[in-house]
Amino acid sequence: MTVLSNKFIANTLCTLVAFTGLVLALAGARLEPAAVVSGDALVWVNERPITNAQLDRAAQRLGADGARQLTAAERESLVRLLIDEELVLQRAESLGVLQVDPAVRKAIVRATIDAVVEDFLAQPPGDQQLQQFYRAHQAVFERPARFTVDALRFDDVAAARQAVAAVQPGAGWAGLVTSSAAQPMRQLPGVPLPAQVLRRYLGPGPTEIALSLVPGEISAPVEGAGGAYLLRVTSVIPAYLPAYQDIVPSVRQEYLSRGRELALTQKLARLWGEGDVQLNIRAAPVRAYVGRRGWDSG
Amino acid sequence: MSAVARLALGASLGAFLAVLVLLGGLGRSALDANAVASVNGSQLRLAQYQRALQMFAGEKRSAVTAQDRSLIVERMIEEELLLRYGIASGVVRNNPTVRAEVIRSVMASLMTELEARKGGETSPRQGQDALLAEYIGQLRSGADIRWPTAGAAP
Repeated sequence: MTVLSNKFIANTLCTLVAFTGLVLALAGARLEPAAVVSGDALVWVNERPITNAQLDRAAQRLGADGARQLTAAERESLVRLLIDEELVLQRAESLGVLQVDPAVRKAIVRATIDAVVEDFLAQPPGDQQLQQFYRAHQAVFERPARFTVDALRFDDVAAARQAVAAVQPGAGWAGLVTSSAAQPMRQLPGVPLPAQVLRRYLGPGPTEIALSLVPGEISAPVEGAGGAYLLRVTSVIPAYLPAYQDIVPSVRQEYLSRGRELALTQKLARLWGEGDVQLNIRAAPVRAYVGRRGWDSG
Repeated sequence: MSAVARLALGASLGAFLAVLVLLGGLGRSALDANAVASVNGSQLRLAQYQRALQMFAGEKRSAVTAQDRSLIVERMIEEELLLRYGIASGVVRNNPTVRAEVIRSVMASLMTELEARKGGETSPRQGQDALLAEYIGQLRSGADIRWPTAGAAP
């Protein structure tokens, strides 16, 4: 009895394992083309559903608000059209048109990118995402150093040198300003300005000299557009990174304006990670390179 | 070999095949010598890479660098990844532009076939309509079309 019972259990177990193996093999073979489970199907065409949503979209393409506006006859012809289209789409899939036709490939990739971006932007970013973005893009949010600069323009370097020589010792910048040859740059606002704005007022050469001065120091005569300059920096506000809490709206705005690039980068990183990508180094002499997606061909 | 042994062998084989299939071992094809890369089994052809490289070189004033070549391959791979993702996520059926482009492509090849087959026997319009009807008829006759509820067919 015990022997029989053991034999029965062993046989049952083996059958179960074999059955499980078979089911897993079949399930595995069908993992990729998983059938769309939909209770919304109007009709199944070679096991693919044509849904009410598709019918609505088709009706909208024809100018109706949705399938409900259609008469029975219109609805019938539209469903038949969708069936025919589905058959053509399936034929295209079996012929490999989706992979081979460049125009189709382009349309699919473009639509996919649009969908990825749309999904991304439809979800408002959480505080954690914004903080991550802030940390990863600190250069974007850094406030640049700003300089308050005084400038006097002279006809040429010699005139500037003469003015410097004529100033009483200790008279400093105030003495230079009273020089008859000096032309104060009234358009230069006496407020702290970042380097790129200073370049617009003074030009690149004088700006570089101004940025090298310490507050209170007067430059040697510098050649620039339309003559020579004497420069003085009166104050410097160093570059700084505002705290995240103080610029949350700016971070959010920047995050959204970079949404397209971010969405794509994140999606592609995921697709790279999940995909099976192999490189043929012999065919394409791709040098060992770790790109932004983190792959290495070497 | 006893029945139990045969069953055990079958079970082991089934489980082994299942593991292979689930891990993608069977679906993974070897990289072709004429391919620069493969993406989920799809080979990216060397000729395609060379065309892209030529176009890139034509637009660039300086010489093409190793990094340029890497970026071209990277872009090709990304395009393939997006293509596959788009197809899997239903873009072909749900995006009207893509849907129309796919149908246009099939119709265009059908019209080419028509021109080759019928020459000047019929007027182009008559020929197109007849061939399209014949083609759709063939697709319908070989299709399995099921309505979820009895009598639902229009």
